[in-house]
Amino acid sequence: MSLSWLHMSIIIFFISGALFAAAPFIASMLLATRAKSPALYSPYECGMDPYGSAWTKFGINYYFYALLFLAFDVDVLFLFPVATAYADGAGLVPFVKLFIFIVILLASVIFFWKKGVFTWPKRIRF
Amino acid sequence: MPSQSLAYAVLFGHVAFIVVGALMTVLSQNLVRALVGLIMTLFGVAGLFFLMSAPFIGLMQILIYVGAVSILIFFAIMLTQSWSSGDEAQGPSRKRAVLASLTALAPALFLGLTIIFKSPPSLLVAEETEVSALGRFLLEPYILPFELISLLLTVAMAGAVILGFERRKQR
Amino acid sequence: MNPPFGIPPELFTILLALGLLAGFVGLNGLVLVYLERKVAGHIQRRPGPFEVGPHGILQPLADALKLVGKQLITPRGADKWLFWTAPIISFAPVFVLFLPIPFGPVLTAMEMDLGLLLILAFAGINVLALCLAGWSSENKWSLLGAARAVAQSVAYEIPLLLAVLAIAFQFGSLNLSTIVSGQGAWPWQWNIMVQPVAFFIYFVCALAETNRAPFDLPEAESELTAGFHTEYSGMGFGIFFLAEYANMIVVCAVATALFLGGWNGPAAPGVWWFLVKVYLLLLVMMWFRWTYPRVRFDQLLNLSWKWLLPLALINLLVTLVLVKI
Repeated sequence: MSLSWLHMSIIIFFISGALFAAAPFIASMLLATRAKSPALYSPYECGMDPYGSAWTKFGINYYFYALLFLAFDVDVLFLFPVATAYADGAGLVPFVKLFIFIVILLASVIFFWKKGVFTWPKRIRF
Repeated sequence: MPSQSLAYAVLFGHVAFIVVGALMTVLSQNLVRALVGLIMTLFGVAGLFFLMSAPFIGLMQILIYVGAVSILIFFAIMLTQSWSSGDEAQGPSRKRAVLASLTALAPALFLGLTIIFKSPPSLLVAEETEVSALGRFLLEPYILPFELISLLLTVAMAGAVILGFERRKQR
Repeated sequence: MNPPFGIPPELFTILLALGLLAGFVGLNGLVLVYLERKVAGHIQRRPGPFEVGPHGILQPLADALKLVGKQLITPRGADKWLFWTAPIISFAPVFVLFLPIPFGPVLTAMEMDLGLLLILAFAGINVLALCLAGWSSENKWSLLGAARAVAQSVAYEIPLLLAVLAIAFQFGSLNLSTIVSGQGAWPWQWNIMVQPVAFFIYFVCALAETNRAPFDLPEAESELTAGFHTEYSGMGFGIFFLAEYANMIVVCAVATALFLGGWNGPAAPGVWWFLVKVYLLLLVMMWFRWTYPRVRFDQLLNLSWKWLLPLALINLLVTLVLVKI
């Protein structure tokens, strides 16, 4: 186990970011007006009483996009360590290896584009 | 390098953060709150990777789990009715809770015993691996797994197509 | 400089950097609010804020005071606990984002080999905060805004990563200082001349990631009231706003370091060149906001998945060829 200054500074910066954001709230609690009225606490819905809860089910399309993102994200992130080692490799061999990787990515992008996976549906039926 | 006692303080801070997050995940009535607990846990684990001198893996943990997987889970939660007033908010039965905790404890016990009795020498003296060394590993000895990663995307999208898009066409 | 009280010198550097950054982020919030309103005003042929102080220069301070003085209202039915942590989560990673940014030859909070990855990793936390804010408000506009924010940032993250990767491949490093010192003093020695496509992709994605017009769908006021922060009054809104401005600075600073030569300049390289370039990019962002109409949601997603993504992949391939030749 070893603690690096990098880790220490991330922790310190993160916590102070949270404190920096919390301080105005505390100031606000001390200074702000305190009005009370049932209408004040009603959720905003263009002036009407809210109809039903906002916590409803959502379309599955968002889920698909998140799934695509996850798959892509993992793929692309593996390229980051490779990027630092790429220039050191001798000759064209690293290039060919990466060429295969990226062409597979590109091919699947084009294939699924043609399949219509990237198209946001105009009408969503349930 | 900061002192060793500070390192222990940070370690226990992380462990506390992880445990609180985990308890929140398990005990929360509300799935979105459970997700927040899960994110806390994953974040704390990233910190543990930093403590093990693997900052690259720690950042990957944040990028993939906090940045991507938790978003996927958020949209998955949005497909359910699981807030405390929703249809799916009832807790599990006693028997299932016991079975679930046993299932969770088994790998923890196994891993703990392995580490106690067969600890690798690198456990105590963590050594930082350069990112470029990792890249070289991916390019030279582990080139086949690396190339297969790119297929992962194709497979995942094929899954998405089969799950949603083909069925939509049929209607 | 010897730190007082026997503090380790590294810790002293960290704390000094933190103090400077806190000042910079706070001041920058005020400057950008003023700048944005002035730019908006002049583009629409009106003077903008003019009453408080000479040329309205004290307007942002008055705004800040007004925000502090406003009541913090938790809407009925909201998840109170998540509702108030969301703005804090949104702001918490901001300082970490500034950690590896090379403001000047010595003015870097922390030299690290993984600087780029650190920024990308912690930038992703903001979207989670938007998610939680939108969900916990129990308001339909908020929830729609949150869903849009997530779908948008998810779509534009991949081309952004690929554009950044092109630079990483070119320099064989993820350290921002190394990338900056690899570029020359004159504009034609900057990366933007070598990687114009990557810069274009990066900048478009940066606009989308910071929810700036023409990609401001998560807070589109004409359709969603205010999107994910509809229910936030006073300081709740203020903190989201501050975090957004800080994120704008971060994306512009990364663009400056990656593509515009960082602190390099034709004469007297230093932090001023860096700040000049960052604020010029910010002005361009504001100019875009008052020039382009907002895109539609399907256009937004199509632009990313169908055009930017293949373009970024091809750009990466070309970079790979050029590095090896």
